[in-house]
Amino acid sequence: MRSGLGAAALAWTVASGHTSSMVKPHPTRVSGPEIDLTTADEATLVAAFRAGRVEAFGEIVTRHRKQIYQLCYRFVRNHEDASDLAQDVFVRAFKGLHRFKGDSSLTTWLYRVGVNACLNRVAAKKPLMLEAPTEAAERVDASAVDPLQAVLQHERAAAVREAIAKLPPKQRATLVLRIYQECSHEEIAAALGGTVGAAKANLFHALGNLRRALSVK
Amino acid sequence: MTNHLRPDEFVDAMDGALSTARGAHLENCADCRAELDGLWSMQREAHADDAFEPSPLFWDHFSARVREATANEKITPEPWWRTGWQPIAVLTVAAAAVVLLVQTRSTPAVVAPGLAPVTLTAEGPVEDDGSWDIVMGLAAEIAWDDIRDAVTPAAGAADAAIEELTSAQREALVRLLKQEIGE
Repeated sequence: MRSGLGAAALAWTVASGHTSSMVKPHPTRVSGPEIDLTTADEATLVAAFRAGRVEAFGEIVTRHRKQIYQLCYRFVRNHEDASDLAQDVFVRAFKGLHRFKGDSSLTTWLYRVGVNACLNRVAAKKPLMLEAPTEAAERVDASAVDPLQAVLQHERAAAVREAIAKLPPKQRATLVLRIYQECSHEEIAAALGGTVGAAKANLFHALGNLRRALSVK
Repeated sequence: MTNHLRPDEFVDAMDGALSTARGAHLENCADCRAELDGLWSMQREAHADDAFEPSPLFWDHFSARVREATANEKITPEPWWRTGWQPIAVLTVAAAAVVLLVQTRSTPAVVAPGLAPVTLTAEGPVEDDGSWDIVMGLAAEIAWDDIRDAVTPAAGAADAAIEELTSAQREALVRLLKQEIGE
């Protein structure tokens, strides 16, 4: 068995975002300097990373950091924790990318890594979850004409966030992926490791539970 | 047993993907419609909660943090038997073919009973044989570069050879390789 390639200390390139697609990693010629990673598709990036081009991972981070950060933010509800958690997700992805088989898109795989990290973090911090005011909660719409209306909306939004935070883990993850990350049911099923029917049922129960939680307030 | 929509069917209805038959039920069932309206309104309300947007400067800072965090992580490339098995397979098959050929040629010929086996002897110098002169003459006309081109596999030839194998042949090849590498 060969040993690893060594410390991954190469500089990364910074590039604009790209959309993802479901593609199998393939043994593209990726070790040479001729491949422009900023325009490469996901399969090429993954293959390049596996071949030892660490800067390919930098490109993956650039393309997906916003989605992963937003996912984390929906779980921990403050910027500091969300950025720490998103960083943790990418470190996990870095370590595990050689296991990515291309059965789903890279985005879905990253969501899977992200949801697991988020649920672990939330479970570990559960007693603290109710105390943290969020950046979103602190933002009152200054442009609103009616201040009373703005306050009421603000309170309702806070109540919704609190109710989402109390949902069972899979329902919460399903709701976040569907409503805020706009994933398809198939992507949610792949990210959470279940069937499409189960993903739909989880969404149904999540919305039903939210409704019940908010109606008693 | 009631005929109300199932949870997944409610979600299909929200997505506008409910089947015609179940859509007919929804149209005539006040309970299902009320449930669906409730789900719709809850989804709208949850969706209205905007995401927090960090400063645009945050993203490069974030990438730098991830880069730093992964700087000391080692990445393990794919094992060689996953990435480089095709050329090895071709070489193994070629080696096996050579061994087989050598063994076949070195096996003594079956001699019919009653016939004396022919024994080759080198009584005189080989060069004295006229056929050897012909071979030597032909060899002298062939350039070394031509020989090298003929015996050296072209780039990608191994991949092409593997592509032409049937799935059964590939399986046999994998078995052979595993035997060779002792798996």
